Amino acid sequence: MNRESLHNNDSAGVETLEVQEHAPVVVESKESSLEFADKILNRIKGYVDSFIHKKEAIEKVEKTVPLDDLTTKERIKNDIGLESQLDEIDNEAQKIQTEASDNVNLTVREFSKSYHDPKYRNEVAKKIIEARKLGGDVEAVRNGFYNETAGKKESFESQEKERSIAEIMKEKNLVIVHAIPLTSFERKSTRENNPVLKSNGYQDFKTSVEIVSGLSPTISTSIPSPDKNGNGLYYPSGIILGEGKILSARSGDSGSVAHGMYKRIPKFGRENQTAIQSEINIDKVVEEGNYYNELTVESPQVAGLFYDLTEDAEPPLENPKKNELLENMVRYSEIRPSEEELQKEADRMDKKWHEYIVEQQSERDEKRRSRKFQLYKMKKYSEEMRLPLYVFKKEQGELKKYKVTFLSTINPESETIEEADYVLEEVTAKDIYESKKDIPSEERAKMIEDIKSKGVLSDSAEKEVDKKFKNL
Amino acid sequence: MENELIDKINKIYTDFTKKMDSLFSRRKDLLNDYREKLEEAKIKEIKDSLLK
Repeated sequence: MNRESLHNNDSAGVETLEVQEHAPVVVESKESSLEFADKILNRIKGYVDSFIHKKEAIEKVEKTVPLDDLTTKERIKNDIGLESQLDEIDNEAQKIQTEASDNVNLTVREFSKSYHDPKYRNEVAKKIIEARKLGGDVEAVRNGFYNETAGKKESFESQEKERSIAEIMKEKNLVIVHAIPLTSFERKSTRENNPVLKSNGYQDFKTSVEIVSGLSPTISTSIPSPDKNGNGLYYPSGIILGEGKILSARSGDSGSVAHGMYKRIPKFGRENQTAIQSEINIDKVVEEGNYYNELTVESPQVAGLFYDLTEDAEPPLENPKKNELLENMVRYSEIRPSEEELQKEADRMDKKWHEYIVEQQSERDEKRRSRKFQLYKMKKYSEEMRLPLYVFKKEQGELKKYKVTFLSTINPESETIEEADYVLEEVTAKDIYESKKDIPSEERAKMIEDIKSKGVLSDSAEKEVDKKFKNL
Repeated sequence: MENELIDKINKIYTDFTKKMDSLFSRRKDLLNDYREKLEEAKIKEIKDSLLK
């Protein structure tokens, strides 16, 4: 868009606007949002500067119609209130300019408000107050803070693709999940990390899904992997995301704390004053660590429910360490044990191993029984919330993803799901992404009302939700 | 976030230019009005001088 300029039209002797274009300003390639904001601030300033001064504008008109009678000239001016009206217009223009510049600055600064730790912001505020008291350069302190964080912000923004959940699903065949326990007694305490929830995190499964689905809060998630204990899942059940932006990603627990519904800041790590880790590496996060990783995600959308059907590996029939233990017995004994003694020890080991296998088998049977109940619950939730259900299974060193289709032959009286009751179809993360459905506004509004009526959210959290969804 | 920020800034700028254009029009109309009144006075001035 050409720069607007006000010029004197010689024939008419009055001001005209050369270009009056209101289309959005195009962002130049490689131009950051901060540079763009600067450009717009300059344009705003230029717009008002291009006003011809009142005195000069009047003189120009008077030159085109020279009047000898000065009294008449003054009378006309007074009759139409020329000078007072021009003053009024100039004042209004100044007001509009200040308001627009302030709004641009505020929009840029909202970034900090949204992502920085309140304690960190308070420290900067204290420095500003101090500078004001001592007559220091307040603007320099303020700008110093924004300049210091601007680099991180730009680096964060340059990783648009790496941080997109949709892209990760399509390109890397990875799923990002938010684990939710099926029963409240399974739930580990996250009270300190979720002060926005009056329930202290002990809300039921369905309410937890509705909170993420309906309110899209900034949440803690993880990427499961077959190389980690429990497949790197905090709980074996929960939701798979289909959209969202990753703000931080660590190969271990980052202890993220909610500072509001839409602000979550990791407690651990170098960048613990901001919700944003300026650079993330998803491949590294998945490869490293033995337990679950933690990624904070803003604006999440739910693609489906998941349940981990992975069974513990069966222990071998023979104790794999038996020969090694017997050899050590010979090597480290002061008197070499007789063949008879060795046989006796081998028999004792076999007996112990057999007892271990029986114990393991009993545990496996118990877990299998529990899984049948839990899968039944997941089926119910999937139907109630109209969300597809996927299961994970660790097979041949891979964490496979399957879509579950329940057969119509299931006995409605039954409270368990047997293997014969469903069909599994292997899917990719991309398939899951492509099957996700957007929530219609009416449905979201209903969810918000439901959550509010349950009294799960703190008062401040409810206010944040109202602000975010005021247009619903 | 990046696009969201740019969209917000663009909206502020578009609103600003609309308001400013309306002010420019008011200013232009006012100066035109003044010129027309001066022209009327000038014509009267010439007529009066001819009648003398």
